[in-house]
Amino acid sequence: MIKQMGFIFNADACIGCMACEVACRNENKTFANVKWRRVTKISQDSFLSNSCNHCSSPECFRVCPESAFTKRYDGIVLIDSSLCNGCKLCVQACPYDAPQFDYETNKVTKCQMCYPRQDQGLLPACVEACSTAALGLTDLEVFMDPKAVPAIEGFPDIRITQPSIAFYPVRKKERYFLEN
Amino acid sequence: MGNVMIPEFAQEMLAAAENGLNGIAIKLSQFLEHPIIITDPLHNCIASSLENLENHQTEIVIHLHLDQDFEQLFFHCVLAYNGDFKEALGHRIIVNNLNQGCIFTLLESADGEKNLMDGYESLIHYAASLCSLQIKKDKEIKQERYRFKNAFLFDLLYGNFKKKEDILSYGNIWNWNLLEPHVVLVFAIKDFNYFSSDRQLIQTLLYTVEQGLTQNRIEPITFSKQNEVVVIFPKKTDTRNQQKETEFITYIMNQLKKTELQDRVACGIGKTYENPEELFRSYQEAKVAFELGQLLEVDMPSFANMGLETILYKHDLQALKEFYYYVLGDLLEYDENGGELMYTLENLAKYQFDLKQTSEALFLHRNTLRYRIKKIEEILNIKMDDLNNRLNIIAALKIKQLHKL
Amino acid sequence: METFRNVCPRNCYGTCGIISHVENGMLTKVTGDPKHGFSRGRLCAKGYAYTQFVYNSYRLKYPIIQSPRGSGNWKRISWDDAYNIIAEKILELNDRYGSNLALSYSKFSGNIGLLHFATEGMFNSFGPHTKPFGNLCMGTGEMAIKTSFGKMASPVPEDMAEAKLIVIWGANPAVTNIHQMKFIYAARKKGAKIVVIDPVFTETALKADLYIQIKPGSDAYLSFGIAKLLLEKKTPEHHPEHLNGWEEYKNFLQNNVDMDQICQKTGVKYEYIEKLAELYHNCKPAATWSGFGIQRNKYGGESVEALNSLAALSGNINVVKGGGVYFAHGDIYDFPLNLANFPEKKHPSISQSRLINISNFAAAIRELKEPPVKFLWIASRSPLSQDQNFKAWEELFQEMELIVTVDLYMTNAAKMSDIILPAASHFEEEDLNVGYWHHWLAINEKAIPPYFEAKSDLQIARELTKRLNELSPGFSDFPYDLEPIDWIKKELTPEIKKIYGISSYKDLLDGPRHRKQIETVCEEAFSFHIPKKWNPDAQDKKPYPYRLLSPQSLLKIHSQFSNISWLHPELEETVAEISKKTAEEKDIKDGMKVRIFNGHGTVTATAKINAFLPEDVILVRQTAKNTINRLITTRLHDENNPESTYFYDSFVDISKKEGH
Repeated sequence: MIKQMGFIFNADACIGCMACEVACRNENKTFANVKWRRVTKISQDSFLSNSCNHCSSPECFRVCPESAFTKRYDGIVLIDSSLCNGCKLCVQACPYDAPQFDYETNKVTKCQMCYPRQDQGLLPACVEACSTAALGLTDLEVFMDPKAVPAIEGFPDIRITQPSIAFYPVRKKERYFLEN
Repeated sequence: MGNVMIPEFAQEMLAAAENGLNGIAIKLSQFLEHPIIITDPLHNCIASSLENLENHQTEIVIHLHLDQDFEQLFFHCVLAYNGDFKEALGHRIIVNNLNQGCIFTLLESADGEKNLMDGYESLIHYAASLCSLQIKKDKEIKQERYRFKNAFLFDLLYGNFKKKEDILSYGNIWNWNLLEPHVVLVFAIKDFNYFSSDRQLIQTLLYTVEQGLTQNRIEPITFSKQNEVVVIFPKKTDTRNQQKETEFITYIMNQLKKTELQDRVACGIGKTYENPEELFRSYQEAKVAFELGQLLEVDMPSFANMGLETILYKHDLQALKEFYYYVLGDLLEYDENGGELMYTLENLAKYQFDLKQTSEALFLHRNTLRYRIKKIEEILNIKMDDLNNRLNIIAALKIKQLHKL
Repeated sequence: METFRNVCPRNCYGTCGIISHVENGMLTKVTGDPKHGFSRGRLCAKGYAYTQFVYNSYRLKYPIIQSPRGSGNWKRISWDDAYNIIAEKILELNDRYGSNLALSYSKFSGNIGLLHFATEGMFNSFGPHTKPFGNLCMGTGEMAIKTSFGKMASPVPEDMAEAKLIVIWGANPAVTNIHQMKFIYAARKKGAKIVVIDPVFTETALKADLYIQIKPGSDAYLSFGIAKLLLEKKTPEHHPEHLNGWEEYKNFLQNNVDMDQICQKTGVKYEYIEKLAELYHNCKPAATWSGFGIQRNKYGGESVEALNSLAALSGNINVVKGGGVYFAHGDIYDFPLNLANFPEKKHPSISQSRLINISNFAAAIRELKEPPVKFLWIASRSPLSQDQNFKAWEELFQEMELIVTVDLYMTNAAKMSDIILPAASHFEEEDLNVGYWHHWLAINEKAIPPYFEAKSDLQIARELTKRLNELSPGFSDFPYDLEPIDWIKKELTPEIKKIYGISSYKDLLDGPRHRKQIETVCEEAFSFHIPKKWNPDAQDKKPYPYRLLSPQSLLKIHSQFSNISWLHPELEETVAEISKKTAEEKDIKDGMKVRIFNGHGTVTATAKINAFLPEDVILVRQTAKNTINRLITTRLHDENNPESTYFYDSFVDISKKEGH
C-alpha cells in the first residue's frame, strides 16, 4: 500500500549532539562536503537535524531535466545518480539543501532514508543513533497527533514542497540569569 | 459420516451464484415464487429478480413494522420504491460481523403469507450467506484493483516510469488512452492539518471529484494523497484552450459548497503534456500553481499562465529582497511617515499603468494621480514611461506579494 | 562480514559498547552494542566516526625519531632500533645514578582500559622510579565523596529515570554524557523537574525546566542557602538528627549562614534559592549530580561536600532508586589491577618510588635533585594540549635526555619528543573496561590487525622489557610472556566474577555485564560538612579581570578526534566566547581575532559573543593545537593530597588583535 514515510523531529528533546549526522556518514560513507544529514542550531532555543524530507511534492523532481528522481511507494525519494548530469537545478530548487553536489564525481546524491535498512526492517541509521528519541520515523499517511506541528521556527518554508516531517515544538522553560 | 445428501436447491443456488448477486436473486425468486430485492447498507438496490429494478441502483425506503427490529436476522417491513409500497420479509447480510445489506422477499399481502414463508427461512438464510460471500469477493477484487490502480498512478505522477511503453500498456488495463494530451489538476484542502481528523475530509473531496467527472462523461483518472485529490484530465483537442478544465473546476467548486468542505478547497492547474512520461511535471506544476494561487489570490491558478511568478518564487530569497529594496526601498522609506505612494504604485501596476483605470479604481482625480506619479518618479529617481523601469517595478511588487515582504 | 565487541576507552562517562563490523580485516562500520544497558545500542558522534579515527592519513604508522628535538625532522626507524635506543638510555641512566629514579612517565586517561596500566606495570618492573599519583580531573571530588560517605560510590545512572527531581550542578551531559540524557528525559516524562545550576548556559541548561545561572565557584554557598531554607521547613518523615555532625551543621546554617550574603556571593536572587529549597522539599527522591565542573577550583572539595550535606538534609542519601548523589564511582578499585599494582622490583637501598602529584607534574619534577629526572615516557595523553603550566613543561622537556611518546597522532607533546611509538587503537588490541559512571563491565576484542606498525601499550611494555633483559639480564621482572588474554583472566578473580555474575571472560563475549551488587552509601557512615574557613565577605584576588572557563568541546576530548574530517571538516579554530559587555568595552565584534593573555602567555583566538555569559567570564573550549591551557598555571593547596587541578581558577585579559 502507498505510504509516506517521514521523520518526526522533537525539538524539545534534541540536544544537538550530532550523533545522527555522523551515524549517517558511518552508514552511508559520504565524505567531504557531501552531508546527507546536518545538525544546526536554528533558533535561540532549538537545534534542527535535517536531511532530505522526501517531500510529498518534491521540487527536485519537477526541475530535473534528466528525470533522475523517483519516489517509492513508501514515499522515499531517490535519485539515480547515474542519470544525473550535474546541472545542480535540484540543489537550487530544494529549500532544505537536501541534494548534495559531490565535487569529486560531479553528481548529486542525497539521503535515501536508509531504504536498504528499512527494507530489512531496520530503522534509518540516524534514527537508530538518536539517544534522546528526538528523531523518529513514521508513516505520515496514518500518523496523527494533535500536539505535532508542520514546522518550527527557523525551518525553511514548507509551502509547495510539503516535506515529510512533523515536529514537536520546544516547551517553555524557566531561566534565571545573573544580573551582574 | 453416513449418507449425507446435499439438497438440490443448495446445489442450484450455488451454481446461480456464478452470476453474482443477480443470479442469486433470480434463483431464489424461482424457488420461493416471490420477487427478491438485494440492497447495500445504504438501502440502494444492487440486485433484484424484478426486471424494472435490475441494476438500477434504486433507492428503497424501508418501513419497519412496530414490533420489528433491525438487529434481528429476519424482520418484516414495508418497502417503498418507484412509488410502490410492498410488504416484505427482510434478512440481513452480514460480512465480517458488519451489516452489509439486506435480502428482501416481497410478499403479496400482509399476514397470511407470513406464515407461508416459515418453511423457507433456512433457504433465505442460505441465500443470504451466499450473498455475503459474493459481496466479500467483490470487495476484495475492487480493493485489489484499486490498490493496483493507485500504485500505477503514483508511479505516473512521480515520474517513476522511465519507459513510455510501460505507461501505455498499464493505461490500457483501464482503457485510458494516455497517448492523448493530458493536464493534471490538483484539488487540495487549504490550511490542512496533516496530523488531525482533517484527513477524513479527503474522501468527500475524492467522491465529489469522481462524481463530477462521471457527470461530465469523463473517465475518472484520480488519485488522492494526504490533503489533495489529483485528476489527470484529458485534452482531446486544442491543447492551449483551457476552457474545458476551467468549466470542470467551476462545477466541482460549486458541488463542494454543498459538502462540509464548503470553500476550503483550492485548485491548481499544471501544463498540458502530450507525452505521458512528462505528466509528473504537470502534477508538480499544478501543486506549485495551487500554492501560488493562494498567495496571489487567484481563483483558478494555472502554471502555464504564471510567468514571472514561478521564477520569482524559486529564486534566492536574499537576492530577491535586495532587488526589492533596490527598486522600491526609497519609496518604502518615504511612506514610513504615513504616505501611501506604495499603494498608488501597486494599483498603477495592477492596471497596466493606465491612468484612467487607476484613477477610477482609487477614486482619485486624474491630476492627483499624475502628481503622485511625479512624486514617485522623483523619489525613485526614474522615469515611469521607460519600459525597463516598469518591468522592474512589476517584478519588485510581485516579490513583495509572493514573499509577504 | 564479521562483527566484534569493542568498548570505547575514552575518558568519558559513557564507556560505551561498540559492535565493530569488519570486512577482510578492515573496520568498515561501527554501531552501538544493543546489549550495553547504558548506551543501549547507540554511540555519540565521536564514536560513530571511529572508522575515520582508525584509518586516517594523520595517524602515525611507524616508530619515528627526530633530531634535533622539535625540528620536525622526523626519520622512520625500526621497532628494533627504537627499543635499542630507549633501552640503552634507560640502562645508561641506571648506571649513572645507581637507580631508576631518573626515569619518569606522564600517563593519564587517553585510554582507560585496564590493560593500559601496562605502562605503570612496566615502570614498576624496573624498581623504584619517579612516579605520578593522583587524578587531574576528578581527584578533588573523589576526596570529598570519601570524606562525606567514607567511600567512593555513585548510584546506578539508569535509576536517575526514577527521580522526581534532578539537580545538575556544573555538569553538561548534553555534551559530555549524552547517553544519560535519555534517563533524565524518562524521569521528566514521569513528572520529574530537571534543574541545571551552572555559570554557563549550557546545552543541558537549554533543556532544563529550570536553569539557574550562578557565579563560578560559588556552589557551596548556594547549597548552604538552600539548606538553611530547607531547615526552616519541617519535613515530618525525615530526621537528619541522628546523622554525624548534625548539631554543628544545624548551628552553622542557623547562625553563620546569612541569606543576603548567599545571594551576594552566588548572584542568585532569593526567590530562586527559595524555589530550589521548595523543590528539594517537595520532590522525593531527588538526584543531586555533582559535576566535575564544580570541583575545578580551590573550593571544589568544599562544594562537593556541601552538596552531599544538602542531599543528606533533604533525605536523599538513603538508597531509593532515583535519589542520591551522583559523581563517579570507584568500581575499578574492586579489580586487582595487576598491571597498575604490579609489585615494584626491590632495590637494595631505595625503598620505593618518588611520588609526584600529577596535578603539578612538570614543575614538581623539575625540583627533584639527586638524581634529577632525565628520561620521560609520555603515553595516553598530550600534556601540551590539556595540562597546565606549559612553561614548566617546556623547560622540563629541555632538561630531558630522552623523551618517548606513545600515541596514535602527532600531538603537541609528541612534536616535542625524541621518539614516537605508534599506538594501536582499541580495535587493534584486547582489553577489559569498566567505566566510572555506569556499572557495566565489558570486554574489548581485537577486531582488526594493527594499523601499519602500531602496537598496544601492553605489547610495547612486553617487548621493551624483554629487550632490556636481553641487554641487562634481570633488569625487569615484567612477565612479558603473558598474552593480553592472560592479563584479562587475571583481572577476573573469583570475587570479581561473583560481583558481575560471570563464570569466565567468555561470558563477556556475549555482551557487557552489569554489577550484581552496587556499592551504596549509608547514613551511618555519612557525616555533615561545615566549611573549614567561613568567610563569605572575602573576595578572591583577581590578577586579571576575567575568569577563564575551559570546558570540553562536543566533538573532541582535548586533542582526541581533532583530525577527523567527519567531525571537523574545517581547520581547528580556538574560539573565545565573551559577554556582550566585554565585547562593548573592548570594542570586539563577532569573528574578530583577539588576544587572550595573562602572565603565563598569550593565545590568539576568534571572538564569539555569547549573550548569556557572565560578564566576568571568558569561555574557551578545549582544542588540540592552539590550546587555551597555555594560560593556565595553578598550584594545589597541598601537594600531598591527590586533588585535581584548579583549571577554573585561571584569570585572563583580552584585547583586539592589532590590525583590527
